Amino acid sequence: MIKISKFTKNIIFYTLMFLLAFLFLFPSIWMVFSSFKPQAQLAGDISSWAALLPPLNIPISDWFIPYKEVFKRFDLIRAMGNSFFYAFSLLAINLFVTSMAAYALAKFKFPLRNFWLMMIIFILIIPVETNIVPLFVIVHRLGLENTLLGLLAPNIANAINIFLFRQFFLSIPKELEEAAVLDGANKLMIFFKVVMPLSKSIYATTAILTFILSWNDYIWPVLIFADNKKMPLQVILNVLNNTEPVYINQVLAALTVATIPIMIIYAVFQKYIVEGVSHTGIK
Amino acid sequence: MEMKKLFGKYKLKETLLAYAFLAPALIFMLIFIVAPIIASLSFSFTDYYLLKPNEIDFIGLENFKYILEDNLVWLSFLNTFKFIIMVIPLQVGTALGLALLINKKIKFNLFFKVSFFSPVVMSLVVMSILWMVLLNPQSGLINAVLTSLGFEKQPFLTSTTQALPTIVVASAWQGAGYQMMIFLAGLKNIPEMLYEAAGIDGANKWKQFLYITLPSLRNVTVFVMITTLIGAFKLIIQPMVMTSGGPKNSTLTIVYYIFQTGVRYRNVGYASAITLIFTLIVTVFVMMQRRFLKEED
Repeated sequence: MIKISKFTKNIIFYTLMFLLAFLFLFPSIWMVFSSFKPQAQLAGDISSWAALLPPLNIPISDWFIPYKEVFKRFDLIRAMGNSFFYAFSLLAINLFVTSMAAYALAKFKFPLRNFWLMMIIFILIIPVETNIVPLFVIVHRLGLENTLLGLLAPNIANAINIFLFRQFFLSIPKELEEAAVLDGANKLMIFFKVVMPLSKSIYATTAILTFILSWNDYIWPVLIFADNKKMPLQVILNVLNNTEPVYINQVLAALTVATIPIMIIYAVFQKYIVEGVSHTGIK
Repeated sequence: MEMKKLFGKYKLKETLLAYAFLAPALIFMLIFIVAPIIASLSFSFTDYYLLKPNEIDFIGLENFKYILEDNLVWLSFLNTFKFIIMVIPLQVGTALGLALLINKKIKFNLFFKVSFFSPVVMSLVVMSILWMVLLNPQSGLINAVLTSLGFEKQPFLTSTTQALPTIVVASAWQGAGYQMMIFLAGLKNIPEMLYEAAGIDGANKWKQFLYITLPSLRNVTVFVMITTLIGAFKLIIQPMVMTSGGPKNSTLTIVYYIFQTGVRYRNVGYASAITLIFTLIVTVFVMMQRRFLKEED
């Protein structure tokens, strides 16, 4: 009697769990499989289970026709190239600038240190979007509209990364640095020769979080670029969704393409992302 | 030796080196993060119009008087608060529920975890466009499902009453998986001993949940709620992409209205005044967060 009821309980539990998982999965499943279908088939499948299946009736080589079409109509290669270029440029500058600042804040004694720390904690919490209009005016006045520097500048010294780096550097034992001092190294050399190599994991975490931040950015590029040729992929996705005629299969193909890099990053670097999640919880 | 002791307890060489390390970050931070905050303070008392930067006049409290009469300011604040009030329980509750379900030793654990987390890999733009297509009143998948289940078709994003709740659900769907991971990390930190002791004392699962799990998660929960709150305050991408703030401004949020006023209509002075009030409100909530977290220590 008890065994049967436990068995039934399990069945109900797992049924509910799979239903729940389905709720989170079905939009993505539909997105990917519909992007392989001709427009007519996509519309026809919508009211049956076929909506969540790939188009098995057509040869796999034809699945990518909507992809070819959308890449023909819109310069998605350029948009993706832009997104990668902006993300890697930001990474290169941001990690250098924020980790140096964090090291000073973690390991040096100097006047106003606590003041700067307080300031960073304050701007850590006020979202950049809050002050987007005055920020735009300043960038405009500096003549940085339509420039790479204008795009990157607000995110170069982001408080989250300084905070993450500082937390990590604080945990590096003094003895390691003291040993280097005995060997005759100065503070600058210690940072590059001792601290940086020890901190690979935090560099990986911040690199990934910064890449995702940059890849997903939308409002700021819309604001400071006038030319669609400079726009990153996220902006072009919205252009594509608003340019008549709108073909749903092509839109979904573009959405899928835009998600693949982030998906790969999450899959490959999940260890570092989970570390970042538990340190900040801030996306 | 005397020379090195510049500011009493600080060494000159160390101070110089520290500022050399800090300088690049400080320059960018002061120009692009701190200066805008100060600028919004000074612009908000002027009639600064972006295309006429040489004709800025001090107009005192005019902008703030105008805010009191501007229905769209009140509406966008109201919409933002409605969004916050709906999304926090839905998203945080879902995240906590999912974390509790997955934390148990169940089969297919990894599959469930990956499923719940999967929407997180989408950007807000991708998520917004995807849900727009899914929720299309005529050709969308959701209405097709509703029809086949015998329900009526719903207008969703095209209705003044349904648009905002729809954005709430889509946002929670996208964000819950991320916060589930934060809760999971919190659950892993609860010592197994507590449960064993409670089990010996005869506490059932429900009581264990109520008296061990929930109190242990208090810090994490407050943290997740505050980050959701701050994220919800700055809601703009979803209404921008999905509804353009409509229909009839029913999804116009405060940041979106600031964006429109300052960027589209180039009315920088007025946008700065709204920004200032908005920043003050966000800051108050942030102070509350700090108090909450301090009480815990």
